[in-house]
Amino acid sequence: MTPYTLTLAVVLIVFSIGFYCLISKTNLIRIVIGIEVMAKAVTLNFVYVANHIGDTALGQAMVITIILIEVIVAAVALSLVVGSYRHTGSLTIEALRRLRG
Amino acid sequence: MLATPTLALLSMLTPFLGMVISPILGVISPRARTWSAVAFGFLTAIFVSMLVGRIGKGVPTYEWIPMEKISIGVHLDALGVYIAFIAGTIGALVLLYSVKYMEHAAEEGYSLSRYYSLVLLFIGSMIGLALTGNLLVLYIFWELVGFCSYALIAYYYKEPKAVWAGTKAFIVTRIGDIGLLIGVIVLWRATGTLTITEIIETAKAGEIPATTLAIAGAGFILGAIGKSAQMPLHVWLPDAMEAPTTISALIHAATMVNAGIYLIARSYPIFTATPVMGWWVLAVVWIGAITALFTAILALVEVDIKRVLAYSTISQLGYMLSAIGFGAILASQFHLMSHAIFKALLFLCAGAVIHRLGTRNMYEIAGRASAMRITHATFFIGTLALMGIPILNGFWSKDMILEEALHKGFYGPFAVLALAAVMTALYSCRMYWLVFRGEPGDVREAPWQMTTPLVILGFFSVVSWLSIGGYARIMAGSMPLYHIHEKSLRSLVVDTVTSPAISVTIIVLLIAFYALLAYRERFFSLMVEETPHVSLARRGYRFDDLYGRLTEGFKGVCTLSRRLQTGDANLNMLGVLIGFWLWLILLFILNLGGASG
Repeated sequence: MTPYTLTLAVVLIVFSIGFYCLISKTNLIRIVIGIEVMAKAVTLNFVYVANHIGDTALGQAMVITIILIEVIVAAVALSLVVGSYRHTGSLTIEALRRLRG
Repeated sequence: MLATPTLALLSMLTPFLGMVISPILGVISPRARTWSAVAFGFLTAIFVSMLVGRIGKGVPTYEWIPMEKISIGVHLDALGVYIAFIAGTIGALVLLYSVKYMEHAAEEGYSLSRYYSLVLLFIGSMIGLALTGNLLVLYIFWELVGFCSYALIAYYYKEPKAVWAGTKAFIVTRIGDIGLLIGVIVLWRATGTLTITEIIETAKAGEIPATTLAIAGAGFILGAIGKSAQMPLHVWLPDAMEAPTTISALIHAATMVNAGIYLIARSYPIFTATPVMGWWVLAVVWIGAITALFTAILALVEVDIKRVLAYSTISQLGYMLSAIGFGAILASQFHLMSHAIFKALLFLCAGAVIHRLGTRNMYEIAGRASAMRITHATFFIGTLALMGIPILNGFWSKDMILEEALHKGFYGPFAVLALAAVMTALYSCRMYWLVFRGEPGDVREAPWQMTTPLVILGFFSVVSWLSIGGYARIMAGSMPLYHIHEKSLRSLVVDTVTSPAISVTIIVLLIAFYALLAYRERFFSLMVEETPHVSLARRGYRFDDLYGRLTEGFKGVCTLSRRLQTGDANLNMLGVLIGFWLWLILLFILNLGGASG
């Protein structure tokens, strides 16, 4: 087992955990966590692939950019959660089924 | 003096800058917002006017997507700069007029920041559309123009009718937009470039396959009839009258509907370079001619002053479209300019009347507006120009179109257009009579912010045709690919007076006037009676019903497919991700096939 296959396996596992969280949880905060976990798996993949093709600097540049974007995504997602909580008074995703008004 | 590239850039960017800055100033004070928007409008107008002197000067292009040879650049030829000039100047006058006209909107709780920034975006998009020489950039601005018209038609969002009209405009023009997009893509696939001049040269060399030309030609026509509200996609424009009157003036004179005419004029050499596209010319001519006549008839039975003007715009655009089909790009653009001036004038006058009297129904106005002296006088000038009465700009340009029709041997369209001219005279007279002939009501003249644009536009309705010499010279000089002949003022007058077209139009106009004077009362009452034909015409010959039935059918399909939506977010998420994976696998397989083959 080469180091790359191993890390790829880790990436896949982390991604699957995030994905499982995304499709099985109804709490909005948990869903945001799931999205974040999935994104982290992708970021990890970037690090290893860049290392694998021998261009670590490119990978690092990409990863830092991705982390920055991730922060923004998390902030926006959480603000949406707060907004939805104020609107519906609950954190379950079921409460968002009615989009009207 | 500014360098030409700077000037071109300034005239494209000033409205966009204003769109951002004026709402920010609105935080400080509403007055600052309003007047800064007006200032940005006039600044744009000044830049665009200066640009007219720079037509034909080269401007560097900047690469945007170098791999696909897509560049952003300004193409300064007469066709584009004139359109931009009209959009900039009339836009500025409309902004000035809005200062008073839109005051009431703020009291009713509508945001004026939204209004002014959208108007500036509208003007800027139109200028961008006209000045670019690249089809992709043109398409982007084309969509922006469409979006702005939607947002501004639905400006009074608390009224369901306005929202409905805005949505209708958006959906109907969207059909045309798809046609244009398809046309742009197939032309790009065939020629490998998106620069219009290069496409024209490829077409002249006969290197574009006939099927590509046919698809692109049909797509461009579809785009133009959607945008310029030609038949059968004309249904959105009369309903767009739910917009504030200033926006109607802007849409009809300066920005939205001219885009379709511009597109056809711009792409004319592409589709006429080879003789296989004879049907394209005929389609353009006949769509224009039939629309001109048909909508003029519809204008006869309307009771709403703005809807009369809307139908009249569609009809006049029909003239321009068929003029391009005759190969008379100069005549069509000249008529476009005349029309922009007098139609903006008519709309702004109508706005002043509505502002003071509070109704759009001509039978309710019933001549009370005649107390408004300046509005009355300028509206009279505008009506005469619309009818094509000698020495006003509408006469020269409309006659130029009819003359070209005879000259090029299009006798059928000529007859239709001449008949449409009679209808135009009839509905114009009816509109003028109903609004301004009668007991003066107890109304004051509109404030100076509203009358100033009226006087300026009225003045230019009388004199704009004098510019034909320079207009034609610049156009002929800067557009070698379009085969435009110079025309001096002298030859315009001589040609017009000696051509057989003028005698035909004058005879039909005389007949129309005689009929109108003799049977005026009967004519007016006939137009409101509920005879089967009148009520059918008032419903626009049931075009709306037809489209309504189509949408109902589509709704049925949607009701069926709605069952796929469970409403469970987790399940939907699973679907999204599975779909994404399938897509990735598909791409992977396709790439493997590409690599091995």
